[in-house]
Amino acid sequence: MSLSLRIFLIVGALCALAFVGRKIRKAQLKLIDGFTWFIFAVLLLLMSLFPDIVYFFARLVGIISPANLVFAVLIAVLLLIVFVQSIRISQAEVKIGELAEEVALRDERYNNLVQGDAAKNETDAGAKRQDVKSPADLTDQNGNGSRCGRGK
Amino acid sequence: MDAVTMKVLIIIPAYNEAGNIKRVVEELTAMYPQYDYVVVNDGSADETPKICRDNGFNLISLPINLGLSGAFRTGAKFAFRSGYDCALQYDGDGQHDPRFIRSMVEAMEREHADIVIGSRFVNAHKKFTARMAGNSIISAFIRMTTGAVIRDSTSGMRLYSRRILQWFAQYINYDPEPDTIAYLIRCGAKVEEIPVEMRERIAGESYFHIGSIIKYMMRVCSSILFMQWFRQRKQL
Repeated sequence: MSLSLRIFLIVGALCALAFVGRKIRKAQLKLIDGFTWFIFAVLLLLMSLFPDIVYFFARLVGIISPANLVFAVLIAVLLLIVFVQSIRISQAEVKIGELAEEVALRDERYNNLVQGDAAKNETDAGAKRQDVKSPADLTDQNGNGSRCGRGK
Repeated sequence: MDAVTMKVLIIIPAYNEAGNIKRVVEELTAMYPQYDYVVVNDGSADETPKICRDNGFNLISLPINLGLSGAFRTGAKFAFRSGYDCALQYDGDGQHDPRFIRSMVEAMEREHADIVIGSRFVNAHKKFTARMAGNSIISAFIRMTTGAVIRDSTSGMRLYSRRILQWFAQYINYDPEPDTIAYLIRCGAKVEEIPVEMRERIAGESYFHIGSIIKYMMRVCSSILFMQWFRQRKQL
């Protein structure tokens, strides 16, 4: 492993740490996601500061150039991260879908309640009517768009 | 001193607790009619929300499963927006004994604490199980990084003051877990431990079944040992 590659890895690791640190300080990254990159950076630092580890494993698996082992390890780690993230994106998409469906169904039920309330007029006393009355007023003010009222 | 001067909300996150929730809420309301409570249904697949509605329990129902943090945060947001002075994190599985809630609220008033932990080990000793080993490890890490002694770090029965609730409600990375306690201690939060007893759960499955303990430990320990240092230290 050349000195320039080692310096490159150290700089890369420090950049990763600085970036993760900034995102966490600004509360834009969950701690557990930051931890993944923290481990990644530590791995880079270990390989660049103690190249003997790389030499040992390169000999063990029969790789002539230790730098190639570094690349292989990095690719493997990145693939793992991508795989985990792909699973999480799938799950997140499913959840967003469920949320959208839920909101749509609630909108539907809400509109029906509002219309039902208008039709029933003042006859229906009790808690249910009170629940519905204020949003009904709100939709009247906003015209027909029931969605406008909900966002605010 | 009477504890009714503080406006208390008991937050009960419930995930698939159909077998427990009725008993838990009824026991709670019978003992503390003066405290408000809310069940946060965490997208349960079973009858939990239906049981709550049929019995007229206070319910916030999440359409999807967010996990304990998301469920608790929902309750914390509600507590903060509704002007509560403090909120109790309380299990929906019947593990927690409501007898001890009053002394926790009183401790918060008396000591002006930010967090009161219902602790199993103020007087008693830990049994030697995998969970208790995890508990000790986390306590040791908290002591290492903050200097504070928390005997029961993984107790799920915690009372949070309003200013802590505000952070829970507004920012990410505030989970109702020991790593957040460690972070808050570093921010200057005052933590008290009050002795409580806990019971074995009677029905259903816990958030932390055996398989997820290791995952839980990884998350909490990595957070306490490494990631907390990156966080901006706010002043309470």
